[in-house]
Amino acid sequence: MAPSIEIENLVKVFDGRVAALDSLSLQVEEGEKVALIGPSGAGKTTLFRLLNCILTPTRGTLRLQGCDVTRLSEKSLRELRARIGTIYQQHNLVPQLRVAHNVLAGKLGRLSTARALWNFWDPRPDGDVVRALTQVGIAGKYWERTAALSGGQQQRVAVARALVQNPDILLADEPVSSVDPALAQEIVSLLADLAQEGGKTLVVSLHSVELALAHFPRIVGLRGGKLYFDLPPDQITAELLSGLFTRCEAERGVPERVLRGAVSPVFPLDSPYDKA
Amino acid sequence: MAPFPQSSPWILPTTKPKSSPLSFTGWFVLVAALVGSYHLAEISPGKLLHTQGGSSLWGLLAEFFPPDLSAEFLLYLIVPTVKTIQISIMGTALAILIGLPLGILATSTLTFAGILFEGGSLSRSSRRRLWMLPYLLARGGLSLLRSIPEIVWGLLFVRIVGLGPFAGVLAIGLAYGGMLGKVYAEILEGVKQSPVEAVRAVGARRFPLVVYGLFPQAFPNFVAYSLYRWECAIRSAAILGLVGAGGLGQEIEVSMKMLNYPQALTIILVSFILVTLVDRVSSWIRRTLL
Amino acid sequence: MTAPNASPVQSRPLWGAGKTVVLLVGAAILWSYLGTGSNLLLPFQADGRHQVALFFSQLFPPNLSASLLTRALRGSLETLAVSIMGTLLAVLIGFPLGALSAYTVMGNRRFSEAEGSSAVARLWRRLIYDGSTLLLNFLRSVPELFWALIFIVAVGLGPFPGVLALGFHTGGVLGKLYSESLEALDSRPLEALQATGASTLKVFLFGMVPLALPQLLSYTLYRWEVNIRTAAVLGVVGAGGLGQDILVAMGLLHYQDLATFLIATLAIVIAVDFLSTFLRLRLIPS
Ligand SMILES: Nc1ncnc2c1ncn2[C@@H]1O[C@H](COP(=O)(O)OP(=O)(O)O)[C@@H](O)[C@H]1O
Ligand SMILES: [Mg+2]
Repeated sequence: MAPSIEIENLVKVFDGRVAALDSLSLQVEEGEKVALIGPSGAGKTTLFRLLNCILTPTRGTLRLQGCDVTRLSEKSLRELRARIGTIYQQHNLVPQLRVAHNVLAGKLGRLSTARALWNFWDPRPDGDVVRALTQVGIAGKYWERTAALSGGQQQRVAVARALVQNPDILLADEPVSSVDPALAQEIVSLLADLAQEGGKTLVVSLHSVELALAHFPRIVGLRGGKLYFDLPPDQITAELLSGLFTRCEAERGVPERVLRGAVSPVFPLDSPYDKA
Repeated sequence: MAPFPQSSPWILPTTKPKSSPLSFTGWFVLVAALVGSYHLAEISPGKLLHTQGGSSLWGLLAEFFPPDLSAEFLLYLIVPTVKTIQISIMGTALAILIGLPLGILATSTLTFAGILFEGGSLSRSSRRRLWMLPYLLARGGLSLLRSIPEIVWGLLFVRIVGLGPFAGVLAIGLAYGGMLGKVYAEILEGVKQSPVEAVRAVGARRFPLVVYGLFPQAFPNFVAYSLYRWECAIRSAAILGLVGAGGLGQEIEVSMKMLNYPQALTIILVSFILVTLVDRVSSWIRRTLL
Repeated sequence: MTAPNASPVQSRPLWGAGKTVVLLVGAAILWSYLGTGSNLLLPFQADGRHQVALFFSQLFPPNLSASLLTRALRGSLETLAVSIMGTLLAVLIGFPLGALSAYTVMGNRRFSEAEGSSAVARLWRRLIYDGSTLLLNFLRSVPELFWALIFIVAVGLGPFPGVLALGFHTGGVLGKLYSESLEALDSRPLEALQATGASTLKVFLFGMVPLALPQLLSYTLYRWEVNIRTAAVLGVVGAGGLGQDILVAMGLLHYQDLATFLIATLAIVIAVDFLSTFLRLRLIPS
């Protein structure tokens, strides 16, 4: 069985100058649970967008479940995407739609066009959907407009969408950045349990180091687009962590992003640091 | 260059701008254009005081008063009024029918650029460039459609399909289709791409992707702009009759030819009421739908 | 879990206001389709296609003889002149009326308290405000071509009534747009200016106008783009410009001349669009 994720010397350059990922190599086996930590601008979001086949690597190889993504046809790429679920940092929900549609969108990879359109017209919940909504605790909001929900509720909708998709590989980009600590705990353990039960591969980026250490057997530190460490939690020392998170103005990082306005509108400056 | 200091948005302009926004040549061209236009447009304010016939402007305008409000004439106007409403509705519907597909083709983020075309193999860029062609054709077509005024379309279609409201429908449909298509494309290009990316990431097919991720975001603006165009269409529908495309315009043409100015004034008032009415209905639809 | 009543998800009301609107709009379209005798299958019917093709084939080749080109040029310039003068007149009508119908200027909300004006003064302001709003509404609601019909009676045929018609209608439109942008201004700098003891007039002249100017200019240029299209057709009621040439060519069935005039129309419309975009970029700081 091929590993879930195989990355070799992966490079992603935006606009020909910003190297968001810089020859990163990483291998994740099927059913493994990995936490990704690193400062803002480390390239976590970029890595997730490469792993769910939204972006094309600039250089290097990226194999998912044994398939080299740069060699796939549009159709097999779509089928591959259906097997990879993503919970986005910014939720990436369609605010104008009801929760119902946003959650049902998780199924689109498996539905025919006609079926998908019918669901859009008549978005009735089925068993999976009800289960997912109950698990994240927002079943009562199914018919609400997504824009009317709070940030935490929207985050839970995004989680429910990924649960409904039921993928083999689940990617979560700071899935708990806008919920309170108790719920954060709950959602992270939910994701971990789900992965455990279904034998899914789980990669979660977290800005809470404690959560990462508590729930994940493998911690990957990312900094400046490079691998900083890849260790089990008991080997992570305070020095490693402070080395990972100290700001280094000279490096390509936060200040440059602010000055040059290099941030795309899709991914506004995120600063986990002000949230404490 | 900026004539207004922009450092802080609420600080008032305090210094004189260093360079004027127009160069010397710019001012010269502007003044020459204004003087030339004044002559070419045969502007003669004197005419407002003494008209050729010797009677004053007010004397002539007084001939429009009082409007003809006889029951007979008002009843007679019902049919043209209804026709005008119908032309505006059908014209707008046709404009949407034309504008939507062309607008979609004229959206770069739907045809060849942006997040929908990222990912996967690198070798597909050449195929993408092929999609530039329909994109450019749609842009050009939309520009052609809206650059010909609806009255001119009306004149042409009266020749092709004959006198009557259908010519008006086609005229509004084509001219407004061009405007709607352009604005639809702008709206579609302006939607937030991140939700679209998320729907794409679950492996959605192209069409459901657009239906779930893109259209719901564009929909409120589509509705608002299409309704705004309908408000304009009622005015166009009223005047298209002047070239034979049915409705109130045709009646005003007849009244003017027969020098029956009070009737013409009545028709103008009716179209004023109609425009106001349509504004009301349109804002009601906007409120309930959005 | 699948039984709807066992589910924690509530059921949804079956029929909402949205669906009613959709249904009504659909019915209105059907009613209009039948009422206007529309036939949208026209392009799919052989004789319909034939009619359209026949007409458009008669337009070719456009008549490019020198005499006709001179006429087309003359018509284009006249149309351009009418659009410029009409827009200018519209600004002259729309700016004062627009200012008077902006509540931030007339102070029936924001500036009145501070000024401590008397009840009579406030009533006057209210009257002027309502009066100019109503006048703008009327100017705007009568289409240009109807204004043209009226002014032709008043001042005779030719481009001049066209200028008046454009000025009156567009004046109403611009007045509304101007007053909206004057009302939408950021109030902080204005309050700062007012705090220095400046009168309403001074706040208007030295605060509101400079702040709103980019937006006002932008609207004016936008209306110029609309007006060039209208100026091109004012001729069909006798108010000069290319429209007159188009009408004559049509009447005489000189379709090849018509084609030339259509091309001229397209050319000036597109030229003005470009010019307006250029001026917008040049004059308006982004
Ligand atoms: N679409 C993009 N265009 C240009 N630069 C980008 C884009 N997305 C991310 N970047 C840059 O890549 C770097 C990594 O960003 P990101 O992956 O969002 O980091 P993280 O998620 O770890 O905070 C940053 O410097 C960011 O400015
Ligand atoms: Mg991020």
